[in-house]
Amino acid sequence: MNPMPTVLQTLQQPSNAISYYLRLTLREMYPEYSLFETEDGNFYLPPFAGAGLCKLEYREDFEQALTHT
Amino acid sequence: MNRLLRILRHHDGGDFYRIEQQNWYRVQWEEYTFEVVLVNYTKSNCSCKIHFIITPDVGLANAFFLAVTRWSAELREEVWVFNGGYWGKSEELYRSIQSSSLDNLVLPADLKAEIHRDLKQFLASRELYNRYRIPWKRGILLLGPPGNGKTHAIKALVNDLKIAPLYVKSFTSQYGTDQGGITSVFQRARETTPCLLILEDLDSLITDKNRSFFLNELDGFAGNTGIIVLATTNHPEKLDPAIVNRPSRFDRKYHFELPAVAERVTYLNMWISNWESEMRPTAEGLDATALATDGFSFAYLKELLVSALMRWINLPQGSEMDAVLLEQCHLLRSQMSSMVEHYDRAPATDDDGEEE
Repeated sequence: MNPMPTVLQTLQQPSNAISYYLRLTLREMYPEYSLFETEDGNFYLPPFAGAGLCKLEYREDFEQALTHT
Repeated sequence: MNRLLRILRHHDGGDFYRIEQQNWYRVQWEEYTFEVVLVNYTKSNCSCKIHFIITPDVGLANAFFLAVTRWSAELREEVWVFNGGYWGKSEELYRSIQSSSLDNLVLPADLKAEIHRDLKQFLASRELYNRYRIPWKRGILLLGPPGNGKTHAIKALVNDLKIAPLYVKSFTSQYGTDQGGITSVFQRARETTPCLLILEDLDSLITDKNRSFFLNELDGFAGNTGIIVLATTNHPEKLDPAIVNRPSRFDRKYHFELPAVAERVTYLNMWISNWESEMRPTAEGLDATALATDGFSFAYLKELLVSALMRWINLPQGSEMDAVLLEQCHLLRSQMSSMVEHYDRAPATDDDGEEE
């Protein structure tokens, strides 16, 4: 398989392509729901949950991943 | 769900995108349950973190967002530190500040009292400044060779004055510009007034490229009301005269010289009072050590005490600390001399001497 078309396609994506595709997919998955999107650095859930202010559970049917700390 | 994973995988190949983290949470908050998706990725060396809150009620998403961000923005036994292009929180620095006090700060009595009085008076004089239409802001520069108490003085003042400290380690960042960093620093300072904006080793923060931008922010096209800029430098000669000599920028300058014999006695006594009685030198031994350490900074005095303690522990029981202190004193002095000779021969380099 020639990787060039994939590379070119990727290069042609705008920098916010991931957020665009994620938004699109989530909207299709949850058409009745509202989607609130944020890139605010202060919106980070683990410490908030760690302080007992909410409870977090991982969805088991999703491939959770963390490749850095 | 599988479609979402496919998108993430699709963008995870090659060097263009890299998914660093992907989490899908079920969140319970107050009486509500909803879901949050987090995707953290890098592209072209830029790191992006997106969260999606998925709820049937946009008002709920708004309320949750505000609750989390407000909570995150609060400090809890932490201080703000600007480094690498962004503000982060440091618990370690907070603890270090808590353990620093004016009582355990050894300086010439008039210097300590003068800095403290100046800051106290400034903080209490806001109305007076307003009445006479003088900008309520101050710049203080602590100058002097490394290891003479500048860093300790700042921590002790922060602890005593109970005023919000904002520490700046560097204006530079991997992906941003110095100008962006300086803007972020002054922006947060203006939002946090009254505050102490702490710029340690100012000579290493300011470069030829960022100097003009820094001066514009310091002079304040935007107002800097309520900001006390507290800066230190080991090398005032490296600073542009436009920074050091113009009064509206740093209107108070305090010189931290090498400790005189009285300060050396106080410092040695303060440390030795915590030692076990059999380790302590005699009063005569302590005086002799204080006299023998002419030219030592506080950092070197601390090193002397630590090395003497280590040496004493390895000697036969009953050895006298007086002799050990003097022996270590001579050893350190010979090291100091050899360092001076080395640097006198070597080409000039930056010297970021660490404060005690």
